[in-house]
Amino acid sequence: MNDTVRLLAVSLALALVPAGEPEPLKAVRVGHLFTGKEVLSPGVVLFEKGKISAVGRDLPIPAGPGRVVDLPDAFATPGLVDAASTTGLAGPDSEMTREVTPCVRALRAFDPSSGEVRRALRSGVTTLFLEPGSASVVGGIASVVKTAPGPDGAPRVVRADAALRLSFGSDPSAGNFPAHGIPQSIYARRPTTRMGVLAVLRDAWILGRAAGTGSGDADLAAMARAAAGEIPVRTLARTEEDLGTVLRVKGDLGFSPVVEGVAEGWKMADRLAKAKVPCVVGPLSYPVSGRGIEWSDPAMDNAGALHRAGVRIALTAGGNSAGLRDQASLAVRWGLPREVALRAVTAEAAELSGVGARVGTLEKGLDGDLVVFDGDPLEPSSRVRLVVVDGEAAYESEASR
Amino acid sequence: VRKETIVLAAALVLFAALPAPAEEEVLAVKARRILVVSGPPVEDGVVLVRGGKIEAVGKMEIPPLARVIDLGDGWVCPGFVEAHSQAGLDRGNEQQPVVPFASTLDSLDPSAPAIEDQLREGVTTLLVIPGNDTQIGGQGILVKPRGRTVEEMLVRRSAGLKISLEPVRNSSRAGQLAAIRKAMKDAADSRDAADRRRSDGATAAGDAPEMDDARRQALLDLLDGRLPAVIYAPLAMDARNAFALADERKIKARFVLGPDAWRAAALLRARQDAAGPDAVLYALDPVLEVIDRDEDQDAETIREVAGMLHRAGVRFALTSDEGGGPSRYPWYQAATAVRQGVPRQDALKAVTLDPARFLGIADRVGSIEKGKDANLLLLTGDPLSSATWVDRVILEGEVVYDRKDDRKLKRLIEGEKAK
Repeated sequence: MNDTVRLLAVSLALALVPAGEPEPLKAVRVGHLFTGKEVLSPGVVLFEKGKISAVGRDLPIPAGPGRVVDLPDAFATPGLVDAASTTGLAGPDSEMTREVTPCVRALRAFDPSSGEVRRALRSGVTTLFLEPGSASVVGGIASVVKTAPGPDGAPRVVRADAALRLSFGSDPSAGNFPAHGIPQSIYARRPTTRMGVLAVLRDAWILGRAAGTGSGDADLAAMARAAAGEIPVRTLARTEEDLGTVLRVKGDLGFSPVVEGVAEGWKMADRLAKAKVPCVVGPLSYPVSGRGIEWSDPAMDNAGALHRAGVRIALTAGGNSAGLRDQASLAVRWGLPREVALRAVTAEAAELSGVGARVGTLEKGLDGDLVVFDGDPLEPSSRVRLVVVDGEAAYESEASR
Repeated sequence: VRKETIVLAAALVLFAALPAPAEEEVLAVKARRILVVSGPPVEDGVVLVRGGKIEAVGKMEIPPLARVIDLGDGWVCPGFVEAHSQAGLDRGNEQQPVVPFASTLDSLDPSAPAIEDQLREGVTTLLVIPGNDTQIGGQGILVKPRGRTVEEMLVRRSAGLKISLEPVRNSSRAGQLAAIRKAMKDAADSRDAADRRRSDGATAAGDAPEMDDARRQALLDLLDGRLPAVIYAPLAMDARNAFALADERKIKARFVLGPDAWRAAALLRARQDAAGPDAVLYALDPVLEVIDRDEDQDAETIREVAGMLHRAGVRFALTSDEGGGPSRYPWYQAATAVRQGVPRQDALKAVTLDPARFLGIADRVGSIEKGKDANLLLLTGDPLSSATWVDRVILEGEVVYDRKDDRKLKRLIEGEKAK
């Protein structure tokens, strides 16, 4: 081979595979493929321009450039979706200067390159419903993001205005000072009781609605958009009492929230089902002291009880999204059917986050987000082999060794 | 009917002829798979138990008159051994940082929920020892999670003296070590002084030699090699300090390592090699994955501690915690190790035989071998699977836990219905 030919060959190779950029994925073929709806054995997913171009049991893989991953023993699922996460928020997750901060965006504090987001990505979580913390009555705007940073390091945003985040119960009132004796200042936040939380919420809701979505005040405008149904409403409620409050004010204020936490949902699963309130359940914790979070009565099969009553559920790992798969494994251990658990961290999690048309299911036209495990995805002993985000390998286990 | 009656009568005669029937009853556990841990698994085998001990394991004919537990598709593995636990203690540590004379014997509540949980999770032997927020924290005891009194639970009374290299409040790393060294030296010096006084026949006014003996006895036992130290070394650099501390006084020591331990893999391996082929010197903190921040490189790397140490040839006991997360379950800790690349049989060993070696009781527990205590988990399947339940627990030959009678488990799953 003379030098010119060699040079030509090298340039050609460089042109095909740009230096430093991974070869885009063309196809993933695995022994078992959970699509978000059913299990295909074997299963093939084809990618094109970051999207899924075809899914099937035995699809022919088209010729041409692009990497093919063929793992006959592996099990793949859609990229996992944590439907209620504060993972990757730099610094405190709640804005504490006021109790109503509708225009605050969790997205502004999200660091996709942080270790905890990378841990989440490596565990197979590709999408987060990213919300402000629970310490405010109206916490602000939640966004849906990918765990893999974008090409320039910026977050990959799936939906910027995913929900207005509210909190019921003791989280927004705990630790506040009563107003008497202390001047009205940022150090004297209002509600100190559950009824106070509701009073503050009603005020904010009514003021926002009156001001209208065109209001020049960003907070009022954000409230107004939620009140007008332009932004979905998400609220935290864990105890039977607080869940009951949600059901009551739902009619008063005219919103249809997705509820998260729901630790005592098992006590009133029939009421939640009847009211058609979807629930993002978790994180599940063993009641070491005999009581659950916020002094709730625990039931380890909470998710199972809600499912059997007909409530739509997703599961969450809260501030530790890398533990999302454990939430599904343990929910199954305590009684949730396997397929329901897998859907609760994929398709249903995406639906309840308002992004079911983009992620959570392996279907033609949806984002190319997928996880390949070396075994049963519901076994904590299974290892993540490959995580694909927008059609590109975002993590591979061998590379980390 | 008649034939059955004759057989029954014959059986009764035979049974009556046996010397001590209750003691000598033979129990045969049939299972789809028996994970003996010390060797390859036995498929479709039997574990024979007599007098609280394992008599045989393998494929065999079940002796006549044996009581048979047929698990069908169930599996059997040894009871889990917990190498480092604060289960059942009201508090992990005394506020005073140097309390070698304290013992968890006086603090362990046999009816604590954390103790009751142990059998449910399959733990049959555990070291209950003071926590890590201390300098010399006191003595641990080796117990089985069954009995109305601590004495009934006791397997071994002086099972380890806790020393922690994690600085207590207002202390520095160097100060922590200085305080530990000073306590050891003071104990040795005061014994020498007491010996001299005794040989002189002189007693000072207000002298109470018995009191002095009681207060310094644990440290003297440590210095004389009768009581091993359990040294908590949270950082990799602490491992080096811990080794120096153990070696300069020639004390027997085992080490509980924090998640930073992967940095010290070569050092850990060298000490292990010097200690012999079966030595297990280390127990790992329940946290098995850490984010390692490199300020120079401005980079964060995720470290899988169990996998990294295993690949470096370091043997370890896995421990679990008493929190609400999945790391409270020994099976989950072993499954995590598998996820990090540890082979399944080694991961199971890290919650059974390796902690038994760490605790110096591998002659009694940790594997299914002839002559060992019959501590067996009768499982619905693979112990490392999240779908598997501990169905029954046999402790020293006796069925002490049965899932179908576990009312607390039922309440845990379903919640307290009546309100």
